[in-house]
Amino acid sequence: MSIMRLLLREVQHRKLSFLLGLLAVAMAVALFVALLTMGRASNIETTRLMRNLGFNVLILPKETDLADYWAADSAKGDMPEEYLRRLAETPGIAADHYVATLEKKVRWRGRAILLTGVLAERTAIDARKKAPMGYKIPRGACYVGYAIAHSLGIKRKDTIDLLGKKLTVQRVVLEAGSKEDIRIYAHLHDVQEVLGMRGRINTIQALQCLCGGTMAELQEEISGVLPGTQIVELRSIATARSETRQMVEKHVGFIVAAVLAVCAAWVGLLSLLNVRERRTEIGILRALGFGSSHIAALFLGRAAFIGLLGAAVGFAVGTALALHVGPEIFKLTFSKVRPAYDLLIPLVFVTPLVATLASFLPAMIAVTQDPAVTLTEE
Amino acid sequence: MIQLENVSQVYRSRRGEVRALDEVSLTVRNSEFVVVKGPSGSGKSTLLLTIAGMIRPTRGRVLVNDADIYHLSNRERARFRAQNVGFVFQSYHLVPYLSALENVLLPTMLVSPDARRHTACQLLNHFGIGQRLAHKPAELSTGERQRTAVARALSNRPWLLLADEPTGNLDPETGLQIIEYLAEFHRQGGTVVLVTHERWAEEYAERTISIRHGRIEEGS
Repeated sequence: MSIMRLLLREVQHRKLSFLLGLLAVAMAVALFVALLTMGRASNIETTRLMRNLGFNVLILPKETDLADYWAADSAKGDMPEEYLRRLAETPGIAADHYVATLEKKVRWRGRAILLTGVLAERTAIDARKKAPMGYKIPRGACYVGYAIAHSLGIKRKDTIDLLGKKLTVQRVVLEAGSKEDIRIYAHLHDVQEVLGMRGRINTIQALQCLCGGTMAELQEEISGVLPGTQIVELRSIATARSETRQMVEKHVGFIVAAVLAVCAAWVGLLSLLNVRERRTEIGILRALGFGSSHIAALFLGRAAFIGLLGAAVGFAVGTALALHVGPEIFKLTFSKVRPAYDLLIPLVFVTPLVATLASFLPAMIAVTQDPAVTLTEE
Repeated sequence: MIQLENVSQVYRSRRGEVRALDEVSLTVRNSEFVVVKGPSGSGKSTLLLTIAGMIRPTRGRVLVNDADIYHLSNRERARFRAQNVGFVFQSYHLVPYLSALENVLLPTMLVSPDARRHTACQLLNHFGIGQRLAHKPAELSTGERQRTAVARALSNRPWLLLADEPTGNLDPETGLQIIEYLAEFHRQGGTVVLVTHERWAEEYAERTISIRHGRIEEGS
């Protein structure tokens, strides 16, 4: 006979109590695993959705007056296109998705339009390859804003003469309800040619990464690389990104903590009931010479066993749940929902520990229980 | 030798003070068979548990072979019980989820890690339960349960056997059988303190003690 055998025999005898404890732990672990597994997809999805809000950093020539810029929607002054390469190839800057543009308000076919030359996005040298933001427009093509296309009867595949340059309409942009509707996008080099500004740009758009740095730090980093520029934060977009991320993290954190607390209380309560049910047995064991450490080991060992088994069952159930439900919830990133095997080892250690802590008080009650009282109670 | 010197056991509750033992002085010599009798609630069970080192007396000393067992730490007192004392209860108090054999092996895990399986089997055979080693207490008759409990009490080869009304739930024939086992232990040199209401059991004892209202009235 050993304590372990005694423990296993008791578990076999009181199956319902054991299964209820196991169920509580497995449920908590399953929820935790499912949330974390799906949370990884959720993070990617949130990032993508947030990215769709657009760039949150503008790099403008120093001489651009921001008041004029917001009023005219284009920057006064310009800077070398080479800045884009320099920025992208400088490591350690907390931003990515660099898009260089040259933008001017011009009159075309009797209308004021925003002519925007755009170069396909460049990824920062130290960033992972991600889905690009912004447009990738080939030379000789253009995208026409909804309002212009609608009023001038321009359709896809039409050829237009843009200030002396023939361009094919590759896309009529969907109605945005903003100044986007009076914009014509073309390749940066085509627009430079039309405007007679070869090798020049007047805006670099970027996305500040959510890696913990402040905007002031980012401004300092960029100014060091691109002299004669000013860095402007598009605060509403940045704030929305940051607040959404924080909200999701807080929400998940609260759910996990609440479930853990409820399940720990449940395991503790079941342990307490187990102690009450076994009062006479504790008295007998005491009479036979079992010490406090033996009694504590019986109850804490039982809790640890429930925790260990609960971790394994919960991991399997949680993973199955995430793989089943995840693709339904995260439609954009369902392929990223993978079993989080890296959670298994910590769970195998932490769950028995939590279950043991939850049963600590009942175990102490068992240890301090007066055996004489139960043995003389009959 | 067991010596109780002016031992009092007082329980305090909301309804007042209960003196379970009141200035009890008693000596039990080694290899003696002592019967303790008295009405319900007179303090007989409390006396046994006090001798076993399970209830610290409110006053007085309990000496076993000249050593005060209540001067030992809890761990040492538990070890003292495991090595020296066998307990038999009226309600058998077998662990319900262990087989008869495992119940008998239970005390041996504290003393002899390489469990005395062979000895336990011999004991159970001797008590006529050799065919029921794997049976759980619920699958045994009341007589078999009590015989298993006696086997468990003897499995560690104690020198002191404390029996608290072991025949209380048994028919006279089985009860007699149990007392015979205790007498056999005594004949082999063991010390027995038996709490019982059965008059016939006194015939096996060398001495009978009467206890009433926590006081020994005769035979101390």
